[in-house]
Amino acid sequence: MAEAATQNGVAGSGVEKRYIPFLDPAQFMKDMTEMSNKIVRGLQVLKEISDDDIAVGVTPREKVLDVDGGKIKLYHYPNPNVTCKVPLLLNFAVVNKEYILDLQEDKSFVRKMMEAGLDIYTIDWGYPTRADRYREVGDYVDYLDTCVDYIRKVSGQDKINLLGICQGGTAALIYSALFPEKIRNLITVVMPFEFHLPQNLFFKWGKYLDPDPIADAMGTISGEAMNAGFLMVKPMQRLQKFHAFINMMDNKQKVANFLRMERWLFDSPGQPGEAYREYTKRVFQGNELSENKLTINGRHVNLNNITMPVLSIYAAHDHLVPPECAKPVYDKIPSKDKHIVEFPGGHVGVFMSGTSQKYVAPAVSNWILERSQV
Amino acid sequence: MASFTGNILTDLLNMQLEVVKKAADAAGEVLPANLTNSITTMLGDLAGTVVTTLSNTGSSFTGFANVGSISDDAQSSKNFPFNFLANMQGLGNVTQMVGNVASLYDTWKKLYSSWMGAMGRVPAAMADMVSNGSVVVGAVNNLTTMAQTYFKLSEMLAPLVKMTENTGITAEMLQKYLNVEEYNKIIAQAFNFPTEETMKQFTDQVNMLASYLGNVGQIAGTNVGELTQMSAKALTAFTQGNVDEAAKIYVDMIDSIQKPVNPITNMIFFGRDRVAIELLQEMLKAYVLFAAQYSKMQQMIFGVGKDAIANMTGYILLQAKEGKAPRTFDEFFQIFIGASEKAFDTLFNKEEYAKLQGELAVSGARVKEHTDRFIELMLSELPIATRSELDEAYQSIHFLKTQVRRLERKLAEQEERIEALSGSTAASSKKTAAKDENGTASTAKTSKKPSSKKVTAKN
Repeated sequence: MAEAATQNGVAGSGVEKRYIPFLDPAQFMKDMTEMSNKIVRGLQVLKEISDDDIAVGVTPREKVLDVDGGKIKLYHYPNPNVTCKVPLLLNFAVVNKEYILDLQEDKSFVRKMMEAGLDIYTIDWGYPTRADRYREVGDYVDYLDTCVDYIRKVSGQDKINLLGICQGGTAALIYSALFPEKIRNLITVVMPFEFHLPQNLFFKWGKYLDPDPIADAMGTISGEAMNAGFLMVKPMQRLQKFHAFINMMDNKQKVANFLRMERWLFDSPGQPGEAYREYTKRVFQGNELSENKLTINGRHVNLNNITMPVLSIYAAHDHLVPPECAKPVYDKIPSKDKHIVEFPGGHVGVFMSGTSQKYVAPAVSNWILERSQV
Repeated sequence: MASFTGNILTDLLNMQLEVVKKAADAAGEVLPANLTNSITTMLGDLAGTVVTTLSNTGSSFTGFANVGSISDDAQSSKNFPFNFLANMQGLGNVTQMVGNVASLYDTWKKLYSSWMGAMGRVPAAMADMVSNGSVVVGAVNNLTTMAQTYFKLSEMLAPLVKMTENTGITAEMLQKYLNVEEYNKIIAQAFNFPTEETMKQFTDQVNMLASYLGNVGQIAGTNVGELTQMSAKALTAFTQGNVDEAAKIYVDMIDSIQKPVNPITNMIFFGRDRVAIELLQEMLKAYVLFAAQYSKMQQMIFGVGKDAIANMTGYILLQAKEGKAPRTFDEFFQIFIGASEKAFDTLFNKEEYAKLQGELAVSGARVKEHTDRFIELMLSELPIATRSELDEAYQSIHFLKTQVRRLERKLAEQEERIEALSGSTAASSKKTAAKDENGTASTAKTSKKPSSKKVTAKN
């Protein structure tokens, strides 16, 4: 009826009264009924799902080192098919859990790289408490160094491969600049690097953020607060996600996948106040890393030391670490074997999506293998 | 014999009054009866302010159990300088008091996180269905509000669908029914904003606070009429949405008690109890500032509604011209999301918004800081370590751990050097060959492996 009315649009009282096609009532009713049915079926699915169904970290691994009294742990993934003698250390962000790289059977970056023959270690940065509030960025560099040294010792390799993701990528870059003699190849994935971006939302917000009273009052900045800031950038995305969730609610497998991701998203460790203060003021607001002015533990984090092969991957549709934030590293390091690659997806998709499993993990593995001949 | 009301603050302030009276008596001066009454009223009001504030912010504060009576003599000797915690007969009451301040803090946290943190929970009924694991329940809970928002959106569309069913719709109808008020209801759900009732509670609370402060101000020398006028002015400003102005007036009123012009007030509040009162005032002031900024943030976000509706109707009309207007809920939903994102992007990119967000984060931190300090003072008489004391310990431990870690590292490096120096010539030549591309000598190369897979790094 509405379509017919459109064609016969009428004018009256000086205001055009043109009937336009809009929601088809029959279709709308059908959509709503279908949605209700899906929810009813979905509730049944949810009722059947247990914690076991959404277990994370599927590949067996063993703890090989306790750092800082066991608050931080280094894990090794035993792999009978290792062909690369130079181990690879995966360094995830302190504010997220590393198990995202091994979330489920069919979505495991770790497993894909193990299949390629890599010997993999990963750090679980734990959950900082108020007792850890005085940890500084330099402490994290020390902890990373402890892990690297352990792996070097166990493997008998002078240098190891280091892959850092998101904030863990920034830490990996800092570490590599401080200890170039220990890193054979550096890989950064969606790494925030350049922060003087006047058009970038985080930069705009960051200008008015005073980390001092926040660090002083909070001690350790909760993961919830950090998460809230990230979610706030795209507030409607959560709604969109729920829309998608309703459409999959009657599929147990899909619901379990969804819940695993939700579990990871909200399993956010806090950030020690001092490290937060230092990172916010110097790396974020001061842009000292990108401007090659950063000092950690009294040492200059000299980007000119990044002479090892570097592979940097950024995501084209990353709203947390947009391309303009990640890409500039390419021009700021002197490595003669450096590569920068764009992934056609978002921040998490780069290591979680089907495309990532199919193309990114194998490509990164090959890149490492080619440069890790002993 | 002092009488006890069962409310710790009233009691402690009454006790203090007794002390002041005794001090005055001892000095051979007698306070005029009207002044004594005024002081009593003021103290009662101040205690009442705290109770009311806690109550209005969702606290279950109902006063404390009668702690018994203490003789005047005992009080005068024990409570000068004022030391009410020492007189508490049982930890339970102190715990309860701290618990109630914590309750105020919890309420604040709800406000603090609702602004953006609690972005999504599925209806409680849905969460209740899930009983097989805490992780599942936790994950599902995160979706509650989103579900409510989602269904609110379909409610928003219902009248339009009805129109379409009967007569079809026009651009006018579209603009009329996709209205800001309805849109903002959805946004309130999405951002988990407090209800109108909660915000009214806040208004009532600050108004009551102002009223009590008005009474206190009378003692402090401020003209009560002036304060009443200020209170009315603040309330008007607040209800008109001029939250900055309202907050400023309230803060001025709270400040007025800290700048007493009457020496009597200085006599009443001294020492540790003065600190307690000041901390309490600072805490309330921080709360008022936070709430004001929070309201401003709400206003800004609700202001987006207009832009979002304009974006939405504009897009739909444009699509309609091309015969591509949304026909299914899914299609409309995508337009809704796109239009909203666009409007929020515009808001979020404004300096004004960024500045307010930064201020809100800081004022939130101030609320926590003052609350923590107040609780610490309350706990300072108890044989437990306060948070600040623990922080000092944490800082020392951190410093020492760092020193040990770095010394151990230096030691290990020296040992490696010694090992390298004491090695054979052959080993030395191997070492030279192991130089890296920068010519830097490699370090720590060793065939030694840890004896166990589980190694603890001493740092």
